[in-house]
Amino acid sequence: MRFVIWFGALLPIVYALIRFSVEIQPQWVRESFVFVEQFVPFTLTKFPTDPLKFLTDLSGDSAFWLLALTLAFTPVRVFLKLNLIRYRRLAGLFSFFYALIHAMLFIGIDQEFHIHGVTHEVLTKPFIAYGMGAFVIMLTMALTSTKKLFGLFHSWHKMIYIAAVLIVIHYLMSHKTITWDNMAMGGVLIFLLVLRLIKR
Amino acid sequence: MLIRKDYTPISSSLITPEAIYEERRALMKLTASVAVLAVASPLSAALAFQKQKSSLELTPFDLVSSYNNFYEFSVDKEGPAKLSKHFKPRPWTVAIGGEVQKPQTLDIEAIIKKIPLEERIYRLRCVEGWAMVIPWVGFPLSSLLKAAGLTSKSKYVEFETLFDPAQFPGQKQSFGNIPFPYHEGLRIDEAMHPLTILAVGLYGKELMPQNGAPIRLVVPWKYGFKSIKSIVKITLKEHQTRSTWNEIAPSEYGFYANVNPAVDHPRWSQARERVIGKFFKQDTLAFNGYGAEVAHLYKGMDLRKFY
Repeated sequence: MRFVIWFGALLPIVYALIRFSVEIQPQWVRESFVFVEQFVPFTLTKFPTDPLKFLTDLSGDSAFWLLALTLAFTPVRVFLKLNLIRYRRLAGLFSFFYALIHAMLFIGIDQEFHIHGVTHEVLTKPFIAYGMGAFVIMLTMALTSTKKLFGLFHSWHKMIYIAAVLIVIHYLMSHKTITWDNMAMGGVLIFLLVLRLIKR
Repeated sequence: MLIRKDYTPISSSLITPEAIYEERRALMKLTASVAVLAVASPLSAALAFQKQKSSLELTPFDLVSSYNNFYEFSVDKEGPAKLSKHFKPRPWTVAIGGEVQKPQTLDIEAIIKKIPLEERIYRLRCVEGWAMVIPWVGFPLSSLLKAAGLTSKSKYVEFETLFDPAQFPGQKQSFGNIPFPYHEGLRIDEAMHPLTILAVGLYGKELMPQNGAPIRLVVPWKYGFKSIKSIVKITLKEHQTRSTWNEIAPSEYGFYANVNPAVDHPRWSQARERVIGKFFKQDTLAFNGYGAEVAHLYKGMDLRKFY
């Protein structure tokens, strides 16, 4: 199971490496990706046109889906009688890892480490404030995720629900229009939360 | 670590003084007066046009033709290039009507053959925060409007995109809040401005469907959504026209939509932009760098109110 989580969590990085190495791949590697491309709904053989947006979207999506995975361990135990709770921390930390990349792209590349710029954006743009709020929650959770500290801060980790909701709002607000695709995140989160209500 | 403390908008020293600007224009006109026939492409026909020289670094053709905002095809940037393979830009007519002396319907072939075409290398700034530099081929919109004959009631110009869900899969979507067909509009002085063009090509070739074939508007000092694609109708009106994004979210997209780094979109900053093909951002210029030519159109207007 540990291996499955590591493998899944590192896929976005593998995907980014494939996209960024398009121009230096040997012919046969590229051809095999062209072949694989027919069966998957995303491109493998094109250098990202807007690299910063590509990395921001990829890290943000990865952080959310790994957070959703983190929230899935409880319903899996309750409904499928499968206790994998001991792997939850790993999934949560991977989610934070991508959230960290996501936030650093914003602070470091988008705002070029300009602290006034970052605070200005957070204070004036609600969608950035929501994202930053979620990041701060996840940061505190990651810092208190060691065995020793988790005992002390156990109840604080309930904040994951707030973070998840903030992320969905942050995601929807960052788009010009709301489409079915964009609704997927919200749908999955609602599903995960409803599952919790059912059993209680 | 790079912690910059100087957080200032564009300094006035970056703005080209008018005298130097005029000098540059004269030089440009002098060096650019060579008619050029571009190399033919298997994709679309080459156009004959007057070439322009520019110091701007062009966004590569494969990026211009593969990264598009064209919701009639798809909300995904890479969707329009893929979903537009069977789009038919011929036969095509543009109807000019409303408050004009001579309402008329023009055939695209006649437009391309009869009107002298010229290259215009313009910056394009999307309201989403990315930018490109594109060598358009087209002609001033003013020449078309003059030919139709303006009247004292021709105060605004409204444009309409083709409505054809069979060709535009994005127009079929029942979920989504875009009232197709897409409309955009300009005030008459903006429409008659020499920088405002109707483009029929880019990079020397006819427009591809994903770029708005066969004819589209280009208003370089406004956010990209004003530059409406695949136009079938141009209507002169007495009152302010429709503007689709303005109708969808009036607090976010104004009728004027002039590029303005000082006025943020309510959800994101407009101070900087990502130039497609580059990783780091650069400062956005007031009126997208065309302030010397167009700022006078908005004299006395509060651009925070009329964003």
